Amino acid sequence: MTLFFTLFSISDKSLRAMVYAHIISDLKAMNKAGRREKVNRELQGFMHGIINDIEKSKGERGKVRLDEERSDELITLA
Amino acid sequence: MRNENHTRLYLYTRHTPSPTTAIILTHPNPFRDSLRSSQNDIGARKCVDIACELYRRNIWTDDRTVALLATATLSPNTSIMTRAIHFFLGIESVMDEDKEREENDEWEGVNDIDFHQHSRKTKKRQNQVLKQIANRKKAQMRREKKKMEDGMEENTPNLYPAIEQLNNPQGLAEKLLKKIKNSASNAYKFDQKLTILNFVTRLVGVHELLVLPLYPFLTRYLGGHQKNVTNILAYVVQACHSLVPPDDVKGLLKTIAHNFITERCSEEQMAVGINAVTAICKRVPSLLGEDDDHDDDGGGAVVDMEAFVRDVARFSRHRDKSVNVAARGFVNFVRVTHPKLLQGKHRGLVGAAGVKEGIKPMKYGENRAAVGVEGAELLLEYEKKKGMKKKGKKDDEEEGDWEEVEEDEEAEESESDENEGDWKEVGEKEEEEGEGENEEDDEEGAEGDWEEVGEGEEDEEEEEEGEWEELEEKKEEKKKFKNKPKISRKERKEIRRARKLGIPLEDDSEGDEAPTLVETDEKKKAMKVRQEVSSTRIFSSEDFEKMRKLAAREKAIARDPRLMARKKRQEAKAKGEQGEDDSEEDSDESDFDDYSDYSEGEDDIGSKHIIGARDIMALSKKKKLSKIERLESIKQGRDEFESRRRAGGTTNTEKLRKKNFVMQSKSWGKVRSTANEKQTRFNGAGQRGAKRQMGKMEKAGKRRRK
Repeated sequence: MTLFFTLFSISDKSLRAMVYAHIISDLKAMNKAGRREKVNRELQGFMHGIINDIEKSKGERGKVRLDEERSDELITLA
Repeated sequence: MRNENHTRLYLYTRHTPSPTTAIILTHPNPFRDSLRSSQNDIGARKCVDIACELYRRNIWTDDRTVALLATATLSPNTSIMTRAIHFFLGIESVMDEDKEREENDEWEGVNDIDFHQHSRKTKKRQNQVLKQIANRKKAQMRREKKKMEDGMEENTPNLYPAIEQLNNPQGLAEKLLKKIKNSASNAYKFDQKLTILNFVTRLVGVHELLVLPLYPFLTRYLGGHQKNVTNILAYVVQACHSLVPPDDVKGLLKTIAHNFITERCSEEQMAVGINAVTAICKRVPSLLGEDDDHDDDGGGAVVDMEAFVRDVARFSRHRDKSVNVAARGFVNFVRVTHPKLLQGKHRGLVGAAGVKEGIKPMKYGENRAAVGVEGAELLLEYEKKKGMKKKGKKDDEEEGDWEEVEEDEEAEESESDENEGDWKEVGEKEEEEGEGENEEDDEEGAEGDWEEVGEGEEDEEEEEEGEWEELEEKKEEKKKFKNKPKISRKERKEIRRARKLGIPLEDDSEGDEAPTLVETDEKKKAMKVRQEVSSTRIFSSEDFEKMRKLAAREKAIARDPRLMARKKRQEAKAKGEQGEDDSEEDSDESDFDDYSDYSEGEDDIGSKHIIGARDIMALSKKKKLSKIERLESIKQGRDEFESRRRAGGTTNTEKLRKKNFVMQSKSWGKVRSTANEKQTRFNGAGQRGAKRQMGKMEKAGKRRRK
């Protein structure tokens, strides 16, 4: 299941949409009979990690973004 | 997991990654890392979306999901943050909508029956139709039942709002506030800032948090020409609750008053401002009560509440309707809560009564502990009265008289113990009777206790005793009502004797019942009774309902002098013709409904409901047309009243309808005739017909004779 979350990092919109729909339908089917706490918990932890990740990498990313902008400028200059 | 397999298959077989992706994934690229991280953002965004969607579908509704989204609200990525915030702000309404739509769809599906009107009717189809009809009936029943339940009481939601499931609302609110406070001016767009503000104030309002730096921050946004002021004012109202110290809110109030409630503002602004002030005062009741002690020398804006209230009240005669209405709303509110602040002319009947009674809002941090169940003593009184009347109806007059005499006597007895001996005898008789007849009664044990206590205390405290008696007596009555009382001859003698003693005292005790407004003794007594009743008796839900109504009535009466007068009149009337009339009792019952409106305003703003801009919006009015618009409309002319849209003359019915009224009397064929005329005409025809018939018969008879 976590594989699908990593698939979000692929820059293809239709694929992402499909993955999104799949995750939701899958979770729905999973919890239909009874709540599956363990799986839910794991997944939530995982998602929490993803969301938290940005928070942490924000500082680094700021630098990266600057670099990116600079390189863009360079490209336009060239 | 079959589904998963399917997806995997799809991924492997059908999906060919776009060339760019392939390049990115395979080649070492200097931009790859940066792209990754931005794609990570996408992943996180999708995670938030998934969590929201699963919550919406009622799959993941636990607090872990909520916690997940709470961390998302603190995300540095604005799009993730706004998504999460929007979730907290609006998920409930979205879910409600979903539910409603689902129900409607279901109903429409059931309602749409194929009767096979245009196809062959086979047995199978017929059965199908019957089944569908039965289904529809069932669904309809369900729907109606649900509607009834909705009307009866607000159905408890099966899910708490997401915002209430938060773990650490205080921390979250503070962090978010810090974020918008410290951020550079262009870090967030104005809309985003507003959403964050909305969320923070919602948090503060719902969880009753104390985030004091919020209020000065909000004043920054309360300029007269601010964009979306109505929304911001709504947030301000949202952030106020009864635990906020009034000094902090006063600054806000002052800014609103300066920027909105002045003559130079537009009418709409004024109305919105006044509405906001009313709402704030409703939510922070201690705000109005602060005026008495002007001891805030230090921080906090000093606002003279009395002057402020009077200023606002003056707008209640403003020429603009929306301002007028808003100001009146404010005045009405002050009348009920702290009428002393208003000028005499604005107080009105209710306010004047309130001043007399000394109504004041609670101070900040003040708390009034409840003594017993509200209205318990009123219930007692009510049941006493009712029992009396029922009795009077059932038994013969003498017994009815006896009842009241006995009661009066006992009531009297609590004040002076002249007739103590007499009373004791009666009381003991009753006791015996009560215990003898109702062994199986489950109240018996309690009653026995009372008796003991009552007797023990008799000698010591006379006042106490009176109250016990009241309880006792009521119980007794109840029992007697259950199983018809058989009163022995001996007892009757006793009664008569008691009556002789009781009659001269009757007026006295009755007079005591009608309370003047300020009678602390009376109040204290009532409190005592209330406490005792509510600690010794088990109330049924009906009792609670009745008590609620009675308490509401009592409050209304205390507030409204007209109602008070009515009550007095009724009492006098009841005294005049005590006993046999049950009509009065009926009116007593029906009275309940009237007073329900008077019960303390439980409107949306007062409690911690969500406040929208809609709640404090100015009353919308029809705008006057400009001259050009008016001219244009005149040119267009009106076509609504043009009757003739066809060729040819008028029809006969039209002629009839349009006939001049004065000419009608001279009309050839009467157009209008009274019912009486019609009747006579009809009768005449009938008689003529009958005569003709008779004539025919006579002729026939003659013929026969010939």
